[in-house]
Amino acid sequence: MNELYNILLKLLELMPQPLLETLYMVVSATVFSVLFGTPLGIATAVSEETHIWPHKSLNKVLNLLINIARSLPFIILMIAVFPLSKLLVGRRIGTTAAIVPLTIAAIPFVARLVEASVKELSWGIIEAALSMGANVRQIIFKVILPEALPSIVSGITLTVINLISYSAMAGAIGGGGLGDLAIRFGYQGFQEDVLIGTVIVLLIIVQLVQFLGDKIYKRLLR
Amino acid sequence: MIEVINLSKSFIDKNSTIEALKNINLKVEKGDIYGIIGLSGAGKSTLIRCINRLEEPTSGSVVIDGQDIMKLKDEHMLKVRRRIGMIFQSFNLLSRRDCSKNIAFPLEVSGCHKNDIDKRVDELLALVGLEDKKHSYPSQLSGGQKQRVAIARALASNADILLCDEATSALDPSTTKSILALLKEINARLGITVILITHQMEVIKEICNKVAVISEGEIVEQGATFELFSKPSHPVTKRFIGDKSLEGTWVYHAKDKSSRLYKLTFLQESAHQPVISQLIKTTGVEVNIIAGHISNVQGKSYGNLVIELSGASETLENALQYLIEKNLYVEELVEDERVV
Repeated sequence: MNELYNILLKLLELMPQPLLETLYMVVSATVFSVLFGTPLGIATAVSEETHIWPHKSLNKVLNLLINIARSLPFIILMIAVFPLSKLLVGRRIGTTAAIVPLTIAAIPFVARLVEASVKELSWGIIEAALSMGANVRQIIFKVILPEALPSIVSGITLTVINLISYSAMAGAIGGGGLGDLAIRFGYQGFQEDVLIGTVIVLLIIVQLVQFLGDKIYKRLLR
Repeated sequence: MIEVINLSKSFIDKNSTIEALKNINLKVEKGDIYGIIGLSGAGKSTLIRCINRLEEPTSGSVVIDGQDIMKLKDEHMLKVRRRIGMIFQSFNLLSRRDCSKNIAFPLEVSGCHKNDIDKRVDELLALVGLEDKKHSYPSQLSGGQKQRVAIARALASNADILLCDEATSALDPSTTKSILALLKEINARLGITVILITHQMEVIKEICNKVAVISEGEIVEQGATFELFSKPSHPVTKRFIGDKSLEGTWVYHAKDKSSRLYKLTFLQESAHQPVISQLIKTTGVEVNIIAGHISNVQGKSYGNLVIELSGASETLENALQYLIEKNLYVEELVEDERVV
């Protein structure tokens, strides 16, 4: 009993800082990737030949970019964007610097999810908007975005969970956070209690995110 | 007035060309309820979408009140579209907007002022009888109510043309009737020209004053509804009418080749005379009545009678002459042209 108490005490002391770092990385990367990924996804969907803004070559370029970014393993991407991190945040490694590769990894992911959400909308509602004389901009902002929003929210939930797992990897190369804690204390320091504690905390965060995401999704659905 | 002139549309695939519409000509007068009927795949959906250019025709033109809309550039076309409302089989309401916001959509799009929008939305809700559903979401409405909202939305920006794309196909018979009544009322009260496509004969019978029959991308027959129904000439038209008087005829008709089968159509004026008994008295022909049916199209009725005539060939000729003189529409039924 006393032993368990001691473990808890140790975790309570070790955990807060890395937890905050993880949240900081994940939240920032989510915000940026949604900000850049959503327009990218919408542009990819509507620039298709049969959609409301057909631009064949642009569509090809967007698809190619997204595919290239998606095909890079995260661990390699992290190292590859060191110069960019240096340029944007002034550092190659560290928690803030890790936001750069996390965002870059998540943008194409968000873009694909948003693209899929847009494509799964019934063509009928878009056709109806066209028949009422709506232009491309009006259809995107008044029809596509609001109608696809519930599905986009599901996509964002998925993105957040993915980012939590990526952020643990970022921890391995100096990003800090829960991943870093688990590796340093649990793996390198042979403190299995810390390792298990970290896993449990990550599990709780993922559950919470999923729960919240589902809740918002249901609220948005009419 | 809407004129469709020599309109053709082909879809070009990698290795084949599908001619969806072939040289279509239609003339819809202001205030008409014009029905276009055809089986699925006949090209009617493509045709109605060419009228507001949701589909671009391959050739030909659509002229609305003297203006060829094929020549219009984007922004002008958007303005013309605001004059042409459209409703759909699957309603196509925005699920995350309530009724009032759905109806407001075309007004927002055309840049109306907020106060004007509110006023107009209330008017339209009253027009379609849904004042109490103002803040309901589409998922809370029945099919008929959804279509009413769609009609209100289609008319919001003062459209004077309404295109109906299978608007009642997803509705049950009694809801269909009420939606058709609403369309008729809108047509009568606001003078809105309605063009509708359907595969349902009842829809045409109920409200259309003119009808065109489309088959495999071609208009095979067109005209005033009553005329077309009482005297269909194309097999496709006959199939749609599904002539009840012919049911069972072929089963009955023996292999006796000396007798002939005729289908008589009695229009209003001829319906009240004892034609058959006089036919027998005057010509001495043998008459065997096989089937009969009375149909009603928009309050006008016509009857069909299938009779078997037998006698000497001269007698048969006389009998035929007599029937034609009586202003009946006479058609000889030949077995290999049978219509089911």
